[in-house]
Amino acid sequence: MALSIDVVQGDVHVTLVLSGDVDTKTAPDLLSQLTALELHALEQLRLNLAEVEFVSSAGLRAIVFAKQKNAPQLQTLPCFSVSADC
Amino acid sequence: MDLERIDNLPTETIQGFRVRPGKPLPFGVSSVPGGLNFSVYTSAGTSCTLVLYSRSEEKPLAEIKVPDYYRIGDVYSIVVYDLDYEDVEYGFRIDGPFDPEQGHRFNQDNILMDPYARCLSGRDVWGVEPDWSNPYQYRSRIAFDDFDWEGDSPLEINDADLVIYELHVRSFTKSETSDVKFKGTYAGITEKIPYLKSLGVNAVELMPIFEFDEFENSRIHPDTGERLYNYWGYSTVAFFAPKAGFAASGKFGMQVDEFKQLVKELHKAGIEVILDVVFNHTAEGNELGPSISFKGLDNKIYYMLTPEGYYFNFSGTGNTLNCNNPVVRNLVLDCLRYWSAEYHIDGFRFDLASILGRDPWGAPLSNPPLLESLAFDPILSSCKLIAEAWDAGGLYQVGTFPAFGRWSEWNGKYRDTLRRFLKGDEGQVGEMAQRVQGSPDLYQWNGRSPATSINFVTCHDGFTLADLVSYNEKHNEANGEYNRDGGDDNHSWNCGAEGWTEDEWIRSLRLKQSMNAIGILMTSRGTPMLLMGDEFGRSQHGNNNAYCIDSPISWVDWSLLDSNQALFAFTQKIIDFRHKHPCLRVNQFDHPGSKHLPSCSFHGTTPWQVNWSNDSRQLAWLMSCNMDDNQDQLDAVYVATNTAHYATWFDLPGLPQEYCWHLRFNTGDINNPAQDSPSEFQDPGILVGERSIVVFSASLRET
Repeated sequence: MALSIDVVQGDVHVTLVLSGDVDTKTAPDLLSQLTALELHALEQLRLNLAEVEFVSSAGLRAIVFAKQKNAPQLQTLPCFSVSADC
Repeated sequence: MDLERIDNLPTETIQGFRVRPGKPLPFGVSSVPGGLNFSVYTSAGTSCTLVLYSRSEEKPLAEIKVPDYYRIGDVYSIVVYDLDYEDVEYGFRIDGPFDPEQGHRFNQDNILMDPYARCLSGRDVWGVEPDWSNPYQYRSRIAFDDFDWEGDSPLEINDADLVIYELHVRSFTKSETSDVKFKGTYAGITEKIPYLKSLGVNAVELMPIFEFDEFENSRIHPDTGERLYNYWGYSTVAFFAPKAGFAASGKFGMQVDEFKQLVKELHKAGIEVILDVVFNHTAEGNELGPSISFKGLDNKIYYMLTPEGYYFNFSGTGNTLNCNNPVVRNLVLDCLRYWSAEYHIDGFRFDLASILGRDPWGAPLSNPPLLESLAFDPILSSCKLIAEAWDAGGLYQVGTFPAFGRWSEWNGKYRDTLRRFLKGDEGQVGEMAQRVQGSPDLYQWNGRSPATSINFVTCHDGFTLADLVSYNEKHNEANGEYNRDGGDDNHSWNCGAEGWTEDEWIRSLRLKQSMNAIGILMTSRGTPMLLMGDEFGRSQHGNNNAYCIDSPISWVDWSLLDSNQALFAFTQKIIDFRHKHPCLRVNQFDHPGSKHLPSCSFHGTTPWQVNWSNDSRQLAWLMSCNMDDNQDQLDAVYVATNTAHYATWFDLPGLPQEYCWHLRFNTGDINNPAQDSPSEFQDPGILVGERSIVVFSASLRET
């Protein structure tokens, strides 16, 4: 299932609203999107996963990698609407 | 201009999958443009079928018979295109003769795990009972190296400077008292790194983390009804895969990342990672055991077989890996190179390593090719190689293990001598003197060094330190074998009561004996190793073989850190003392010492005179060298031990005029064993209490 990514820009935070599956095929898109954001300037990055059915290890790696490289200042990474199975 | 390589294009379609002949190397699965290259070796197999599954599905996605013209030599390889590597699980069916007398056990009904599988599914979460009706239990999965190491590399700490801490991944933090979020996992250890750092150890030795099955030989305790497991994991299923059940993220298939994260964070804290590896046997057991991988791929190659086709059992667990067959030797080498290069592992401890020096018929080799290959391998050149230098077939090679100038050894003789000495056995002073200087009787004659000797008083196998001073006999009833399992030669002493007691005198003596053990260990030359929790009195309630126990008996009880704070503080301080005094870490038997003193000298109640007689129970040693950063400055440590049941006066050896002694530790003063006094020790000697040790260091006099 394809992944769509909407970027909602706040004052000091950004919310990524994801829809679809984050897997081997789509994780590179997510990483590109995360890399394009100026993460280092943010106080908070939020992920809205309400419309996401599946996040594979490649998806998790993309998120961890982007945070580690570009946003070490972020203490937490709030994820919204994550199902118990994720 | 980018040219499209024609050797990257599929050549045909089989079962709806686009494929082409693969590359025989590397074995296992590798990534090629647009596809995955599968490669597997079988010398006597007659056909190979690649079985593909979608993750966790019961029925295969496809079975692709590898065309015979895809085979080069004894290796079948195939590239399959358009697979989602995260989703796919795979195995092989190998056809061939079923003729056990000839050593062949091919059965194409079995789906076999790839021996080079880097990741497994099927045992994703610890202790979840598997579906035994599933014909493919241990499913090979694919993992590629896309971890961000942030510049990490192995630490390469000198062997002689190590203080090793042996731990079991699950036991270390499984208890509620551990106060970590991810209990019993790699991530749990990561949370405990600040603790390890504060203790002062600079290497952790992890009991087996290669994929094993905790349900192997699992059974119910006949009296208590509790489930017993293959808890320690000395029975490898997959040599290239970290155990998913030890990862908090195992159910997401992220054990590789979680384990790498642990290694990276330990390295950031200056702590090396040593893996306890088990190459002497596998989880396939004997002729009655399951056919997981090797048995069905090439039984005769991978196992030592009797002329009748049964399994030699030098490991005591059913089979023996045929390590000096060139194919198996390469597998072992590939495996260790992989862990070293891909996981940045700093060293390996080889379980029952003497088996690795036997020929295919079981006879000990004088020049074992596997041990030589490992010793001279370019990728492993900085890795610690540590042998458990014996096996279950009666080969005992402490001091004679074929070392090629590289291997160190768990020194079982150090353990036994120290234990006997501590409890005041007669006739131990002479041998103890050998042990504290790095066991030159074992290692000097063949050109090895003191750090060859991994010194320890306890390890996972046997009593914990608290139990060593609390039990005369093993108490292994919880193992469900009517107390028949486990060793009986523990050289332990309960100090006056068997097990737990309210008697303050006995409890105090036990504490003192524990400090004595750790004190001698940390002031001996060689590489010291502590067992997890010994620094605060962890007990297994007298169980000296908790290999099957997944319960608080095995789990570290962190509440003891508070109740046994004195022992912890002592351990912490004496480890720090070891790090500060290079004379304790000299790694040369013929070291010249310092300008004023020999490198290592022995003393009795009178300096320079030792009573070596059978009933002597007093021994002191003085170690010296020049300070690393100032060659004109003396570093000297004097240790006096009295294992008699009465106090004994020791005259202190003299120092050059500008130096004086400082008392650093005195276990006879049990309420204040770490002295920390800044003032010069004025007396010409010291009364060393019964069953006590004192430790002095030399300092320049204040002018």
